[in-house]
Amino acid sequence: MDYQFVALKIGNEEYAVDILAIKEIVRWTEITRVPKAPPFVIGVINLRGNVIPVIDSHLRLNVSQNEITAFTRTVIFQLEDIVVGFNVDQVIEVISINDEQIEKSQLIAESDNKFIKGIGKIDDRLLMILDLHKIIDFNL
Amino acid sequence: MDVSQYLDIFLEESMEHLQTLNSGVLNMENNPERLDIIDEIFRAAHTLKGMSATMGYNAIAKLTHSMENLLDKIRSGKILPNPEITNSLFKCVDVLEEMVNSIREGGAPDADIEGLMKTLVALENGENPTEGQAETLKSEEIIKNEVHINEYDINIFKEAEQRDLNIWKISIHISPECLMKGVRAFMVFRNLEEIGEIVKAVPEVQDIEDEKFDDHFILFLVSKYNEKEIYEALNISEVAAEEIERVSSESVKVDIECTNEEIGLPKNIQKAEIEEDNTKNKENNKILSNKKSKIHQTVRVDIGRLDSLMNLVGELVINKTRLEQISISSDMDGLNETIEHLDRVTTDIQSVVQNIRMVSVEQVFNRFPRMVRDLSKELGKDIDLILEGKETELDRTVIDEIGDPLVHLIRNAIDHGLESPEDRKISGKNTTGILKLIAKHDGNQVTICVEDDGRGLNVDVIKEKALKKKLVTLAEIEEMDEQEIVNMIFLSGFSTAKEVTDISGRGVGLDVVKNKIASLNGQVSVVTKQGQGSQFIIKLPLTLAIIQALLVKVQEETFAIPLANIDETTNLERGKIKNIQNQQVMILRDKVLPLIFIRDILDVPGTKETGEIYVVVVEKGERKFGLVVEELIGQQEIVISSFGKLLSGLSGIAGATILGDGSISLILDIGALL
Repeated sequence: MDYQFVALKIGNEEYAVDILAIKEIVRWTEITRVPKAPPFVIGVINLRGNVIPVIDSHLRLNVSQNEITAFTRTVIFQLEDIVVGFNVDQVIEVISINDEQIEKSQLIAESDNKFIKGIGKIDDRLLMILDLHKIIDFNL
Repeated sequence: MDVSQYLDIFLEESMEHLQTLNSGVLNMENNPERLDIIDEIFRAAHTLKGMSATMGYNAIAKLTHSMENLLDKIRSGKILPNPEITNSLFKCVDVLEEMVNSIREGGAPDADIEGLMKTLVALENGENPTEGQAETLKSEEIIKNEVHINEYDINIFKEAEQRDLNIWKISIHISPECLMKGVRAFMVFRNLEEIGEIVKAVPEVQDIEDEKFDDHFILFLVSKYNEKEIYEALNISEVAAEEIERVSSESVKVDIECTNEEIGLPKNIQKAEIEEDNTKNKENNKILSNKKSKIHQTVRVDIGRLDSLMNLVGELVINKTRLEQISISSDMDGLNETIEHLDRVTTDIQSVVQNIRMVSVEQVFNRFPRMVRDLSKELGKDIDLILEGKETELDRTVIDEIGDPLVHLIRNAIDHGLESPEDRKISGKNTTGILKLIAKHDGNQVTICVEDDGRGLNVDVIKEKALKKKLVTLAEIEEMDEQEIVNMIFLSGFSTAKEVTDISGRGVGLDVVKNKIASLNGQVSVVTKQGQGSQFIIKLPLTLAIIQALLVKVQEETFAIPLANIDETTNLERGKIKNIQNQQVMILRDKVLPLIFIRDILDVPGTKETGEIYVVVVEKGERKFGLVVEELIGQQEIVISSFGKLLSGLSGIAGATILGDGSISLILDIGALL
């Protein structure tokens, strides 16, 4: 079965997230710092009258920080009743991955990244599929 | 029929009826002679029965049916209410509540009702050992109480008997949800006239057709048909033939004689009393009917819709503020005027929407009489509960949250505050303790007081306890005044009860109350006098969504401080800051005011230094602090937006608000920040 994902660029790597979890994608906007929040929550943004917390992908995934460019986007996720923004360096494309193309066990153990739930292989591209529930679990 | 779409309504309405039952039974206990109260309980049980049967919850229907039987006996004076009956009725209400709650949670109402039903039947038959007998007595009762059969009627009955026709006494019940009872009654008449002749109706036929009856009426039908055919004729929707009974002119006559005999001399005295009661009842009925007409004017609205309306109003307010800012900077003719108008309209809409969300605290208060009764029985204390200001209104969200803290405070007052009757006698007080629950408006706030005239808080015990639990040091305590010591009861891990009882004192007491109130942007404080009682005062904002706040600037960041927390503001030259034991302070009107730099406690980045700074004096409990900021922007109405689940529980930050220029400012939670 085919699943639709959105391919993202964070640092120099490609990641993929389930398209159904994405509410919208917005351009970089001004962020207000929230004191006492976990360090990877870089602040809150005003999304048409709603205050949405934003998680910085670099800090969360431990990827070296790139500069804010014209490609920088905030991807707004909705997981049940939690709405949260995720800063990424580029949104590349919508991509269809067959579950046979998703490697679940071996590679993850090697990548030792707790936020990756699988790796999609399309031709010679490798896309790390993010586990969004783990990303918003602040205990991890 | 798919009834799932009615589930919400069913749940809500059954909670209302359960509330009525609860307060009704409580009332009955205190005024056993008032028939109108029993009627009220009966009606609630009856409606609940009908509703649950429609929804297919047979256990509830069965139990309410048994309650109804028992209540009917009481209503007709066959049984006098006694403590056993009230207790069982309370138990029934508890079980019903349990069942309704389990339905709410998606389960089935599967509480064990068999035992309870047996108790009810036993109570019901307290005077009449067998059920069958009880039934006949019941029907006779109806004749005696409601049907006045005169000689003329008996003659008609006799005539019918001579013609070998049957006389049927038919009790008709029309469902209370039925909108046009008159029409249903007319259909009953029409169908019955086809198979016989209605010789008498109670109430009168004219009254029935004018809908001047409750849900019941009784007809006497002379007909050659039998019971089954009458049932068939009465197969009309929303109409039920409760009872069809064959009567004879003889039996009716005997009844009349019976009744005449029974009303002897002693009864006459009772009658006089009953008449007195009736006048009372009439007054009550008046009140009741007033209430009813009020209920008819309300509309049930899903709270979600109100929330979204409130959100829209919030956006409107944001945009209004934004326009105001634009008008200040652009200085256009005509724009000002329009904005002023917009301002007025927005303010009006805002207050209307706020009012829609208002619910009277009665909803919360209503559950307390029952609770206090149970506790007073359990602990053997006599308590007079006085409720004041039930009509005070609060935002629905606040109402939903305020129940638990109040329960806690009331339990505390009863368990620790009020003394046992013996102790009260010794200290020269009335043996009945007084517990007052007062709600009142206080400017932009609502105050709820829980007040008892018990032993009050013992300052020495609190001191000892706080030291033992290492909440403070001996040196600290010596510097505290009495009020500060009393306030320590709100610290977590503090509980003054000597032993842990079921009612209160699990050590999680007042700090939970305090946190809950704080999360509602409210404050709780205590005033106590040893030997005379204590008073817990809860102050709550009218609404949670929109508040007045002072905007301040610290380096490049803007924060909002709720006006409710602010005492005053003042400016200060840096040179006048003094140091006492590593704590920076200032002298404000000869008093030492500890200073807190927002820049430090919130790690605000930036290194800008200004010569003059501003101090916002805020109150936390009874103590005052000065918050140091660099700039005061001004007072503004702000719409509180929460961060959502993800960032909930950040201490010191109550939420965020969107300012006129679209930027976000954080709202400081003074209680948690300091």
